[in-house]
Amino acid sequence: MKKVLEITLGIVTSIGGFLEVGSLATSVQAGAAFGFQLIWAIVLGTICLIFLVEMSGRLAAVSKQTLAGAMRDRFGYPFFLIPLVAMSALGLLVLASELGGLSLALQLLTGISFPWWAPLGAFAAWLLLWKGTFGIIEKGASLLGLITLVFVYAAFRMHPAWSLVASGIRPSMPKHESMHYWFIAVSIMGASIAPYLLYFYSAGAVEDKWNETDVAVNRVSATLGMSFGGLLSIAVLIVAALVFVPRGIRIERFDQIALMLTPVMGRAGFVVFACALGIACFGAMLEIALSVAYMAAQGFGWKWSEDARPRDAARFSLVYTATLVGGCLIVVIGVDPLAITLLSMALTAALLPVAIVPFLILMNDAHFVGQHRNGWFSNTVVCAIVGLAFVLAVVSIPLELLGS
Amino acid sequence: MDIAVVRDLLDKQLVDREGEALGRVDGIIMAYSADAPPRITHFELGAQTLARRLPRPFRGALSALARRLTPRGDDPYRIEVGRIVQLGRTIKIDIDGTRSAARKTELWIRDHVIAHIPGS
Repeated sequence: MKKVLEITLGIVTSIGGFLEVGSLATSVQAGAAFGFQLIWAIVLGTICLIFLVEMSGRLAAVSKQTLAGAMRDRFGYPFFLIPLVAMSALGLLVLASELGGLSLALQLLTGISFPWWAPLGAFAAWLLLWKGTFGIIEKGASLLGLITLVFVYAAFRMHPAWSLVASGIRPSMPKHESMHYWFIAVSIMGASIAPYLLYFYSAGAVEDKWNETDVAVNRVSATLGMSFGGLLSIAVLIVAALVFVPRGIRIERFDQIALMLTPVMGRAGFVVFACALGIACFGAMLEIALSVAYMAAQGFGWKWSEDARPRDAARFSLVYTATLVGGCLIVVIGVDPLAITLLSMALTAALLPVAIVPFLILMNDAHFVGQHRNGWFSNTVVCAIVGLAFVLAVVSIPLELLGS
Repeated sequence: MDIAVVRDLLDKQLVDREGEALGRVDGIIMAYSADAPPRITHFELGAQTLARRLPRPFRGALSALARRLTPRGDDPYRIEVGRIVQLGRTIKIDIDGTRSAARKTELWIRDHVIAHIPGS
């Protein structure tokens, strides 16, 4: 009974925490520009994420090590700096996109265009990290995040031609704007596979003191939770395709997305959308700031725990504080939130090998995971999808930047 | 017990006798003299040690930065290997972490930055 409850909670938290501004913006872009054609990118990204999340939980349960700690342990300090620097820089960019999304949500809800929304949002996130515990942050943000299920409701209410939706699961070549097609495909995969999630997940598993008996529970909740999460992204894409394609609307600014639920739900749809966007972005901000702090603290061997008082884990607290300040500065400087979101998701895809290849080596090292090593199947799936995302990213990012 | 220096010692997490984090094994010191076989004497921790392990273009700049940021004489910090009480995923050392120089930076940040922010 306890196991069932544990699995259910794991699934619920993954669903509630799945959507963030990256997956939302990329799915909307894909739906508005290419109809159902890019659903395959969400499917591939989600399959890869399922394997990776399961692995990071298994690593923590079996070796009692976090992902960042194990990386320094296995590959040594100079190599560890490469993923640390890459993921921290990327974390700042993604954090800025989430903060941009949160500011937009607040602006939509209040009707006030206010340059101080971003610092206020960053301060609120910081306050929660400063005073809250890991349980509050993980479970609270995810439960509130269930509001994003409204996209599933909207997708069903709009009665899409399900046979067309199904045909999008099979990858196909673009009929028009082929460079943009591949760029969006890459951004979707980067948004789904989000490596910061892996550091967050493994730190959480160590903080919750998982052991080998949790391996099976972890497998079930990672698989189901991330699958349902992926369905949420697909629902967003479906709604965007049905709302924007017939009206010939091209998404060039974030606030255009805000109207996607109004055809189904009217004025309420606008409010629900703003709430869903705000909550999803806020939850992701907490996870990203914590992930950067976890990675630094675990890699350098400092004391870390979200449950400790800030003064008892001083450097750890300093890092998440600095990360939030940095992300906030990027927003305040005034970069275009939609552009930075798409770019940071594509860059994530390009940097995936840096984070994932060492991770795979760890998961095949009996010194760390003993008999719970990866099988050939999970190795092959992850390598293939990460390889594909990387190649597409390296080809499409320069062309997209030149084109725009 | 066979111990592989790089696999089992270097970069491992160090904890004090209470199990509190001290840092990681950033460097390993060996003593060598003509009349005795070389042996490992100390673990080294600190920004200077970390800077020295980087490739040349980064080494000088980071080492200078570390020298500027850390109190003179405390970095790098050495722990005698004789104080090891447990070797495993983490290495437990029989010292009082609260007084150890290994935690100087942590305590400095606590007292000069974190403690000034309300609610810490």
